[in-house]
Amino acid sequence: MSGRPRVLFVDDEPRILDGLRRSLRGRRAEWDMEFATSGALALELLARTPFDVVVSDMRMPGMDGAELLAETSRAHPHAARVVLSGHIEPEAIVEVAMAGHRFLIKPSDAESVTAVIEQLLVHTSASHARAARRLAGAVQSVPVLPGHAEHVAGLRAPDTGLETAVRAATGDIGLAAKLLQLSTSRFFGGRPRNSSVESIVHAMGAPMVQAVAAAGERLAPAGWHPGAGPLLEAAWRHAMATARLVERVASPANRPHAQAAALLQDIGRLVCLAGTDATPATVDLAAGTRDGVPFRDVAVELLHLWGVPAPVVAAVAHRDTPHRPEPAGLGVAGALRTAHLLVEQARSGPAAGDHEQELALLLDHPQLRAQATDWRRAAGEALRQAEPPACAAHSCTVPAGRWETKG
Amino acid sequence: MTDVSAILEAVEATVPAGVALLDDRLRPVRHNAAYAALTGSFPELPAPLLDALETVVRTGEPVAGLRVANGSGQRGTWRADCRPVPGGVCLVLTDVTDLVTAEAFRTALMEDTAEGLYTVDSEGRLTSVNRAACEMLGRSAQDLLGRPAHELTHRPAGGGTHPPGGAPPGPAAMVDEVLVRADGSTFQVVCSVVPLQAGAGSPGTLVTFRDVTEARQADIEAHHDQKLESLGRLSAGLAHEINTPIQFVGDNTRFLADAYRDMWQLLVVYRECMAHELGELAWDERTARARKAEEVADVEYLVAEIPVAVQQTLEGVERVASLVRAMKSFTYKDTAEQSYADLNEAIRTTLTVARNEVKYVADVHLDLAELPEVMCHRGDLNQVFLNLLVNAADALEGRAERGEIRISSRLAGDTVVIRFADNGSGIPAHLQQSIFDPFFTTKGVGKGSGQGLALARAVLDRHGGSIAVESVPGEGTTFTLRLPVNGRREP
Repeated sequence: MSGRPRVLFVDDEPRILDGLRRSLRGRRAEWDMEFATSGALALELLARTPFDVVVSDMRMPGMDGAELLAETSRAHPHAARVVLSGHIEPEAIVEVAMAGHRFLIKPSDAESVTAVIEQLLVHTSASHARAARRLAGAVQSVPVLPGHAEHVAGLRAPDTGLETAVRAATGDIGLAAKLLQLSTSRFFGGRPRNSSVESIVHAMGAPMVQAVAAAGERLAPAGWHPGAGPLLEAAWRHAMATARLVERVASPANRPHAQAAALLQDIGRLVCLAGTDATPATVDLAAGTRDGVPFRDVAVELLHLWGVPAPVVAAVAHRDTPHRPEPAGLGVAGALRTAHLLVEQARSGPAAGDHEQELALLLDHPQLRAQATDWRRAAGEALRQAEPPACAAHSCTVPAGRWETKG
Repeated sequence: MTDVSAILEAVEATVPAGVALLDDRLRPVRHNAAYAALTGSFPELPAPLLDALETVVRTGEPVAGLRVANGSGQRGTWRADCRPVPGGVCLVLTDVTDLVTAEAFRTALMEDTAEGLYTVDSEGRLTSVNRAACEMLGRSAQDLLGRPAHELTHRPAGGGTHPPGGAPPGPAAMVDEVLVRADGSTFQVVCSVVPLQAGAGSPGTLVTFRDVTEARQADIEAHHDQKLESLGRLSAGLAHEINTPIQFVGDNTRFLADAYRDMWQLLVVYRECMAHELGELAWDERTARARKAEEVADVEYLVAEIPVAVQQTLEGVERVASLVRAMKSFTYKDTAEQSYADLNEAIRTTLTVARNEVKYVADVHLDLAELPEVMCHRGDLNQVFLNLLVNAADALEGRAERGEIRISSRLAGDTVVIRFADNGSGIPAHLQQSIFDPFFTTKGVGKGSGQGLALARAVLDRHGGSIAVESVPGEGTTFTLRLPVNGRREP
């Protein structure tokens, strides 16, 4: 494939394509652009040559945009998927939410379209750019953890209230991630006050959250990696405890982002251990890689594709990197790193001496010393409160997908 | 004539009642034929009657007018009269089943029914009135009986009258009237007025009526709801129809700005080439510079594209403008009076505002004949056209191939005939009668409230026109509207 990124635009209205072709003409030296007037034509072009980004209208005769993008995610997972639509039918909105990465409303000026395409042309993983994109790109929804279905089950009642929805979304990592993605677009509800799960649920309304959760359940994976049970359980508990603790560690302004980052920190593990029917995957549990790509690289690529706010993506990316705090404040990444280390220690005991020095430095930060809190005790408390639901503790009998296991 | 027993025997044989003589243990001693006929199918007298007979024997007191069910589960009522006689009891049984039924019927009509009912004599004076009528009129029966009905229940100069000389014979039609309560307030009713031949007396009239004030109010609200429902559905489509041109007008304008900049830069180079400061510079060199600049600017492309971009921009602006015009025309607010309107124009307008509802599922063919202007409520007819168009599109939704909707208009004498035909799934024969019923819908929840066709029929009725459906399952459906050119003839 040539060096130039390739972008495919799909719209049944030729005038729209003409307009895009002309207004994006300034990019002709950087991108190869193709234009298709139907979903079928777009799939033909995709089959012929790979594209990096597909920008599609939603309502089209024959194959509509949601179908096209869903098919793209199956057959061409490396292609980032952008919705550019004037209106989405209420009946189709959830399909769109699952199939798309980014969502632009018509009219969108050329600058916004260009900006989104340029972001999507960036690959976050330095060493595994294409493989990480392929793994993350195939994801339409992050699956509900085995044994944790009752968090979202509460959403099935027809008259679910906002409180139930908030509780469900903070207890389910995948739902929280999807809501964070959708909150960046006005297709799915009002503008949330901040990126906390609570504000997002309030802005979207319970029915939309219910619909999204139901669609996520429909996309549940065929199975999980055979050794996944304990790892997934640990990831869930760690996420819940860290999210609880980081509420107090982060500065008030950073709390929403830090909470989101804590929930999503191990999303790569969920995504990589969930089976897909299409391709047998190679997972190395010890190294934490799938097809040689570290889980974390897949997580960061996914959050980037989904347009999750940059501070959240950065915090997830750097969770395992030693943090040297700025005197001005811990920031989102520093808060997550601190909470992560505290919970990790509370779980495995003080023997994890590796990070003791770093943790001491972090706890010595003025932002934390200002609170009269015994942070290690608070971490133990948070971990105890993050008890898994009764059924999950025992049900590590997880349906297995097609796997080749190494090591 | 002194043979009493002969007389008694004659009486016994003649009276239309069962007569029996029972001994003191209530065993029959003798009875007439009528008694045998009455009790024949019942092996035992009913228990309450036996109780009464025993009491008569014991106390020697007669019992009169006792009503008992005839027992054994067969419907019927007897009247029993028991009188003690030496050594037993005489029982007279009469079948009063018809009487009891008539009484129950009368009670239901006069006391229990929610419909108002009254009768008047040939002078129009009230001869009977039921409870519901009293309640609706806010008057007591004593207040009403014997007084002239018309004066009491109508506004002094009001419309609707009881026809003088009683109602015409035969089954009555329901008519609308406005009645007045005792306090002077009014309410809308539908009533039927029928002649009542009460025996030998002069002809009277029976009037029944029902208060429809709330129902009429609900109709108006349903009409309004249906308009809001279709507007809600339209608004999303309209947003799409407007946002599409806005998107490409914006893109083209942005291109024109870039193109202007490129052209300007080219012009700057040309000016430089022409500047005499270049002095000795050879002509070849100047043309080479100009050609290079033209290449950078991609002049051929710009020259070809700029006019097209301008044309498409104007086209987009016109699309939005015509849509806004159509929306304004579509939401035309009817006054109480009808006015003459171009129905072909109304059809085109409706098609414009509903384009987004239709364009993904069907091609629309218009076949509009030249029509005179028609006396109508234009806004209401727009709504009818919209409902039919959306129904047709819904009938075609989800099919493998694009459907077809044909809309035609014709003039037949002084009637305009408009047809909406689709080649969709059709309506099963057993549902064709129900489709005009309010709240009848086969669409999913949230897709339609089932008022569209009911509303269409109501609107056509108001115009003195009609709406009819022909449908062949699997082949399609045609709705035919007929409208008198000069509006509804006043009755």
